[in-house]
Amino acid sequence: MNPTLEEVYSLVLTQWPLVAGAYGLLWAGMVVYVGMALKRLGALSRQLEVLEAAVARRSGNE
Amino acid sequence: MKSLTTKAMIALVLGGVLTLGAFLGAFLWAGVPDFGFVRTAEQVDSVRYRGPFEQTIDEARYLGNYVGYRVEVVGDGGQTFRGELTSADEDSLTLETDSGAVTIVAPALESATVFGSEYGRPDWGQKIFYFHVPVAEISFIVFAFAAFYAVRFLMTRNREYDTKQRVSMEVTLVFVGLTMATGILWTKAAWGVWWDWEPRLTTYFILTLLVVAYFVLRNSVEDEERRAVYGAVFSILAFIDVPISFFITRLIPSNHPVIERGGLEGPMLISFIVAQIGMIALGYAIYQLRMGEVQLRDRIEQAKTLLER
Repeated sequence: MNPTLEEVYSLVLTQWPLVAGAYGLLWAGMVVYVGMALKRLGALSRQLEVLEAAVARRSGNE
Repeated sequence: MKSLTTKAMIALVLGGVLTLGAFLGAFLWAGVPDFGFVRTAEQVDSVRYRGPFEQTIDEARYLGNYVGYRVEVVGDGGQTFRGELTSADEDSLTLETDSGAVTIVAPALESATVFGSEYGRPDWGQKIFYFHVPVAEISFIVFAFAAFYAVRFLMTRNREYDTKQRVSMEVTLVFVGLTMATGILWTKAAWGVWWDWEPRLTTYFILTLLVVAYFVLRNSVEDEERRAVYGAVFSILAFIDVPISFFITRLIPSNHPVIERGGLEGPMLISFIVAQIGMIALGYAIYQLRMGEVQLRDRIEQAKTLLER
């Protein structure tokens, strides 16, 4: 690369790691939080299904 | 419960699509404003090229930044030298002229005019703003909902409002954390420092501490009724900081930028608005997901109670 052009790029691209870091944190934060919430929701739904089936069985027996 | 999850999933997909669209718009469609300039000795082919520049300097030590540039030096006797600057410090400067190297001692320098090319310096850090601002706005909006539910709880003592208030505060904490993270990186990109105790940053930092303190308070009170009342009163008091933090940049001098009407146009404005709508949808989706989780836990407790009878 032309050394002058290289100098221009080295001066103007110094902000990129910070921009990439900001978007990385933002997306990672969102995806992890929503992913964990969905995982918990799925586990709780399965637990509720088992419990409600047990309640229904007991009601049927009585 | 199912309708809650359905609403959450619709909002999540909508928010995801819109924020992705805004992200692509911000990076591939919207332009990049200039933030100062870059100077070089020779001209290179660049869309950022603004034109030639010349600057007159009267002290040798300031010429140290322009080694390699073409200069025209005027000595105190009126004689003129033109050439490429090869060295400069507080004592002397050296030029490579057509007739050979010329050294001029600092006291003999009358003035030196530097010639070069100037380029706009793209403000890439501005790209952070497309999402930093919407995330900060959602933190304020969700906090307002938390304060509203806190007032409703204190008026009615209905536990449903306490739950909505607590979940709203959790969502506020998520968005406050994301605002702080993106804000610190923007501060470093724009101001060159990680933090500055200026009005907006200081009041938002206080807001962050208040949101964290809310959860510390709730977890430190065992009695459910007192926990709900203390939490409601605290969130209403803490909410006072939201309008202060929002308006402070408009009321007292602050380094923090303020979006003004007409400040953004075309692709930048559209990407920004789409990011705002997308972030509102994501905030709503997160709130509904958490509410769905709370309601599931309640139903599990009810089912367990029925089985234990």
